[in-house]
Amino acid sequence: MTAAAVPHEVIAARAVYKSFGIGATSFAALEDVSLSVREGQFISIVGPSGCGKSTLLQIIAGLSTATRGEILIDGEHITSPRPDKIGVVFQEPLLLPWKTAAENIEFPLALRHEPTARRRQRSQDLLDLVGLRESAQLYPHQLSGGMKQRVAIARGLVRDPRLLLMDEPFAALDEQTRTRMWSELLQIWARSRSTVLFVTHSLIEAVYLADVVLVMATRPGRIIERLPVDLPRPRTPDMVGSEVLGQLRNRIWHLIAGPQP
Amino acid sequence: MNSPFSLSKRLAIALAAIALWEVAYRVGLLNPLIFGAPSLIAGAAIKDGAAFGEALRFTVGEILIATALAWCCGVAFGVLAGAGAARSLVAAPILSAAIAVPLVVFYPVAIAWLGIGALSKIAYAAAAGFFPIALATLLGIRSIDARYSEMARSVGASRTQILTQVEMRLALPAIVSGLRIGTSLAIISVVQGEMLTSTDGLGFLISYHRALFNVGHVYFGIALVIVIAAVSNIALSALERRFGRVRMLEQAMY
Repeated sequence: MTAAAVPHEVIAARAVYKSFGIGATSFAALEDVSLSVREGQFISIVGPSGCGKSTLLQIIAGLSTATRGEILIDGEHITSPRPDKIGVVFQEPLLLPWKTAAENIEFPLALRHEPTARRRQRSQDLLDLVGLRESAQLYPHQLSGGMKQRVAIARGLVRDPRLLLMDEPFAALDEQTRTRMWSELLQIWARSRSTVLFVTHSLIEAVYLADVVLVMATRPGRIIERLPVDLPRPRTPDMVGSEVLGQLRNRIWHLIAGPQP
Repeated sequence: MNSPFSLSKRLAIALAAIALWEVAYRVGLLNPLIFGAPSLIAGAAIKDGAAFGEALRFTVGEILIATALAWCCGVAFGVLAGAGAARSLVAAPILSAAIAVPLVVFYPVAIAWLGIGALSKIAYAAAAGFFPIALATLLGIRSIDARYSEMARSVGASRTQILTQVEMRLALPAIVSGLRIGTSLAIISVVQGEMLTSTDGLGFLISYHRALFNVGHVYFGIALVIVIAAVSNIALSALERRFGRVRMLEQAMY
């Protein structure tokens, strides 16, 4: 199966291995991880701490390299960051404190010396998309945690990537803000028509957001289950308490925790 | 600089202190050979103001060149050494050891190599300023959060862009405090060098007139050196206020 034969496959990871250290002290962070993500999908990756889910995301982002195996984005091998194809949102917003919200969003464009007018237009569009039109000229310290993470999402989308990688982006937010950010993110996803790979340790978050949940296990880090989520879209906060979501959450919990006594 | 006193009050306090000093000298409370007096200083300024003005210009020139050298070399060295983990492990202890050495022991060597003129003072003062600036820059670069660099890499920044647009900018508060220490040391070293071995500059005039017991001249020279230090302090405080803001914003990040 080649990437060319599956035109809508945005991510193809094949037999990815990643080990850290050498000799007796080396350990396998990822072992034989393969996955396929089609265009427009929202995929969650969930697993216990140390299962290598963030490592996998780093490799797909081109920030780290696999020991063995290959990653194809749109059929192209990824060995270094490709901001034209991949946007990354980290756990912390990592906004540059001396730049305004708009300037932070424009940062990837400024690095390419794009004309100011074009940059302004693009940051305006994205501020509209993430609902921060009024906050363009505010500095990071003037924004709330949720607003900062929305700016970070806008920065991730500014080069119009095919794929948005998110590494526990809402882990540092309080529960109410997080719940609001879920709706925001799903709206942004629907409007930007991008493909999202979302790493989280929250089972409910993983199920609520995704079309498919990939469950990982630890030692060695590997994907043990691929669970489609049969919840209609658009998702609403009420679904968090729904039976479908609850059952899926329990199933993932048993996969991660092992058989219960 | 927020003072509980207004400018006019502060001026009044200073004038009162000067008046008290003069009165104490007039009534014979203070030995003028040790403490001088405002009127003696004013007399020196009137008599030899032109010579002191010339010396002031000479000394300020040396300070500006030495400071510029210390800033450029110090920041450049600190950034280059700080950009690599192994390099910084080698460089940091050497720099901190060098700061502990009283550089004045090398001043006679500078005189032997570069002569008695301005060049030896500039080299000596630039060296004195270099080490703290280089160390502060190195430590500043090393101590920034690596996740910012990773974010910059993910949005397509080159190694140079990461260094100049993210890492150096994040390290700026640390660099600025290094500049503050380095500049002070450069000023001290220029004047010190002039006082030890020289034929020109404020430090030379202070030494010269002290040998002749011209107390007013000595104090006038001291006052001019203090003016240089004060102006430099005001400029550096402004720099710190401007870029200390970054530090404040950083703390509000999460």
